[in-house]
Amino acid sequence: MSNASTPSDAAPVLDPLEKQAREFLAARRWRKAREELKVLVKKDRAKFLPLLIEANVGLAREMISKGLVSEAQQVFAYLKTIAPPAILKGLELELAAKSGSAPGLETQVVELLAAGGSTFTPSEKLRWADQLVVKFAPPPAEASTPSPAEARIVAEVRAVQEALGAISAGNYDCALDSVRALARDSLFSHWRLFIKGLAAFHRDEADKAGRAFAELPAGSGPMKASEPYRLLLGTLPLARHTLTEPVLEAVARLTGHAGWGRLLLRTQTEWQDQRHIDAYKVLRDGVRGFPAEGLDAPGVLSDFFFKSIFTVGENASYSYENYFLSLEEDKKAKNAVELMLIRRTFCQFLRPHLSPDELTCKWEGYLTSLRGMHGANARRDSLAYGWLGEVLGEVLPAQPFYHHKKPRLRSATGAIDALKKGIELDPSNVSAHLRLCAVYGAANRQSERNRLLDTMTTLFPDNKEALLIAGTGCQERKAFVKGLEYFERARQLDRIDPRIPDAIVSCSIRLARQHYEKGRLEPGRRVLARAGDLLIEKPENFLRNPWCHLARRGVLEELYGDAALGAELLQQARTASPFPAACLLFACTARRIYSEEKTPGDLRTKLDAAAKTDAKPGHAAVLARLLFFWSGIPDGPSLQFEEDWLRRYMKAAARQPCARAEGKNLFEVLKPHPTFHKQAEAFVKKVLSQDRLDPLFRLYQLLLESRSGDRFYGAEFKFQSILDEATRRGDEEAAKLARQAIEGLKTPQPLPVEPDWEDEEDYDGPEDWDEGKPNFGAPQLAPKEMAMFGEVLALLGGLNEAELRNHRKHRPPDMPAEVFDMLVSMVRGGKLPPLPKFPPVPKPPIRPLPQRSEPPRPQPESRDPNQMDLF
Amino acid sequence: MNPYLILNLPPDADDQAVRRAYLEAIKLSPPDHDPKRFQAVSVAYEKIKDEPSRHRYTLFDRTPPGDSPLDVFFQWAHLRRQFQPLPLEAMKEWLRACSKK
Repeated sequence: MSNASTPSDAAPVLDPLEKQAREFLAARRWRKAREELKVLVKKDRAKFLPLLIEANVGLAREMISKGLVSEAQQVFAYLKTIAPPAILKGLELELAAKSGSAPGLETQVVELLAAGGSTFTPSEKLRWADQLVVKFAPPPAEASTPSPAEARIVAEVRAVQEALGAISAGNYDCALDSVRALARDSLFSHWRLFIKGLAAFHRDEADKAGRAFAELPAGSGPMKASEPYRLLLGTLPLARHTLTEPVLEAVARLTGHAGWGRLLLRTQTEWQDQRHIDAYKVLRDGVRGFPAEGLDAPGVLSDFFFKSIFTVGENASYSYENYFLSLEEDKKAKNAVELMLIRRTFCQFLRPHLSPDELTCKWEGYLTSLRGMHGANARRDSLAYGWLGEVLGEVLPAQPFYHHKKPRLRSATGAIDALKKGIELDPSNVSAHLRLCAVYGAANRQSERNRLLDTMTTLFPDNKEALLIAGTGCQERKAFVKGLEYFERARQLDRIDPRIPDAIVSCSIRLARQHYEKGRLEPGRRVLARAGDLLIEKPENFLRNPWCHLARRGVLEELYGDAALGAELLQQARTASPFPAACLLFACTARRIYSEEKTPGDLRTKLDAAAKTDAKPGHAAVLARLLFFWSGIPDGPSLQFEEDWLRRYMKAAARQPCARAEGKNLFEVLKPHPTFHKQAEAFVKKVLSQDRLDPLFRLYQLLLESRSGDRFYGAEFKFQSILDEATRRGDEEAAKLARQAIEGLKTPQPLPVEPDWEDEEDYDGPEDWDEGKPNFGAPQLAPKEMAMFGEVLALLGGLNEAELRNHRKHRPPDMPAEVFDMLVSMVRGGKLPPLPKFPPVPKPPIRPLPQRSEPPRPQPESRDPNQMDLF
Repeated sequence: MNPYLILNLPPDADDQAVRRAYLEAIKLSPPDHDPKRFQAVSVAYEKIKDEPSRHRYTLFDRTPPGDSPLDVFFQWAHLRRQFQPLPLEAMKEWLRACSKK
């Protein structure tokens, strides 16, 4: 027979039919390959018969794996006519095993395996060895295993099966003993590895188990069976393709949660498909003890679902919110833990959107549940009330709708009540004391604040924050000596915190001024000399800078002490200052403030001369900082002259070349001061004239044009264009700011939740309240707007609780929460909040008043020492 | 993940027990050998090191213990390390399922 079709001498171009057949074979498309090969065999039997047999064997195996046994038997019958019996032995056994029509199948397999030879490929041998083990059939009789090789195979199968039984019974030593005799070259050596891995896994020898499982041959039964173990060891990545139900069920059984496999798979699938609530429901409906607290699986999974709301996206959190809150409202919580977790989670998650009463009610409900489950604990409850007080004491932004320019507290009364309760429950709760102190300060209830500060210094003599606040309180009451004492004690506790030396110097200056004014020169000089020990070479710290200290001393000496010494000190200050105009402005302002003069006197001429001759953008920023430092002083005189002078100086400076860094610096200094926005704009334009596409300065210009951060027409488009340009140039800073601006457009403004008029009822201390009454300056509605208003009311009337909450959260940014709440009350026909009177629109102040109260939440890292209360 | 699980502590552990568990855990996972585990142990310790911290964890903690339910389940199982061997019948069933393909 001609065997001319070997690959070496085959024609370079294959017959298209042959090519097609080989492609089908490679793609394991057996049926198609078989059809092509049948034709080819007729042309060249010797060449194509082996391929035809291969295609048929593949087809038969595929059918067997799909359970199409009778079809496979037909193929096998055809194969018998074309293939030698030796080739078909393995397939015949497979078919017999599948159809269950082979008595003594194991014996046949044992015989074939013992015989070796080419009946089985290596992978087939492995598969048949696995089949022998997992059959768990009674061992073949003595007579049926005549040859030593066969006897050995039977003994090895029995050993593996015994070992598996021992593993199940927890006898790991026994299991290892059973398979110890298996040789490396045994057909069952991979089972020995598997048993070793199992024993190590259950003995908590993770590394050993991991190594044993890693050595298992790929594609073998034990390799597949080791998947749940490797998942639990963490050596198999948690990929989606491994997440089959049987694997997860095995995992669940191993962890003592039989029956969880299906639930775990479903909850994971739902979660990955962003159906978070459905994922929760799978466990809620499927596991009796879920949700739960504790360290078991239901406990950690409950923890996961209730904390994930803080990390999932906005849409997901919205559906979370709706589902859980409706469970609470409809009293359909599955158990006490679920109710408790709902309250805990949503008080925190919805805290900006819940009214003070709602928040208090829900949070107290949570604490009641907590007490019910874990018993009462005063310290824990104190912390919880401290949190409530902190939230209710949050400072709200000014509301243009009411012409409110001052920051307001969310609910001063609620915050004070909660914090007092927290202190009552645990008098050692420092943070509650500090927070209450801040709330009193923000609510301008100074007498109560002072009483609390006195209590705090007694209760917490070694608490730095308490001492600092107490010192500041003393300073405000002009009890400087006592204030210094507190600051010194705080400094002994912490020598690194920069706020403390700032506070000491500030207090010392005020004390020294008091001494000088009363003619006690020596004590005043001593106090200033002591403060001199805390000076630092930091140009922008006008409190502790050496040249500022010299100038301050010089001014005080000139005004109240030795004029010659004062002049000398001022000369020294001028030499040490960065440029003469800085020293001049500092001294001029200090003199006016210390002497309470209305005009700057002869210094005016010098200042004007400096503005004309020496104006530079770089200097302008320093001078602006200096002026803002002085204008932050409470009860100080009007610095209108200095401000006007600075504007003239800046006008002159804007004619000079302005570097980008200088422009940036000036913008940053002037941005918080709207009365200087025009000047800031001049410098921004100056920089833009050099590079009109500069993204950062275009952004600055937009921010200045929009004034108080109000949205303006086309804002998003403009910010996006800036972002694109910044990205193109690689200007990270501009890109970040543009992104923030875009994000800011999307985010609704923080919403107030307690109407001011409630304060009136709670108001019991005439001397302490400084908050203005609500001040509606909104215009009357036009008829068209009235019609719209009616439509809004009708719409609100048809909403349920959850929808209302959502609408409240996403209401138009210019609609205050109070108005929304009033509308809802109107729609429901319930009690309306008292409608305030409409006073006339107040005239805007000539210049912003200096801030009088302490910020309620001090942030040490961002504090500017120049904003310290100097006087 | 739950700090009590990371440090292998019961929920009512006191300061001393927490400290002891923390020291044992960092001895087993020093930063140069297992920085990830060391970091997890340190974070867990900070969360429950004293009574106020433990109360704060109970009341205010918002960090989810994992990325997905299954991730949490495996992390929990990995930390708990109390596995039950499969009963023989379940083992047979599992092995047969794995040897089928």
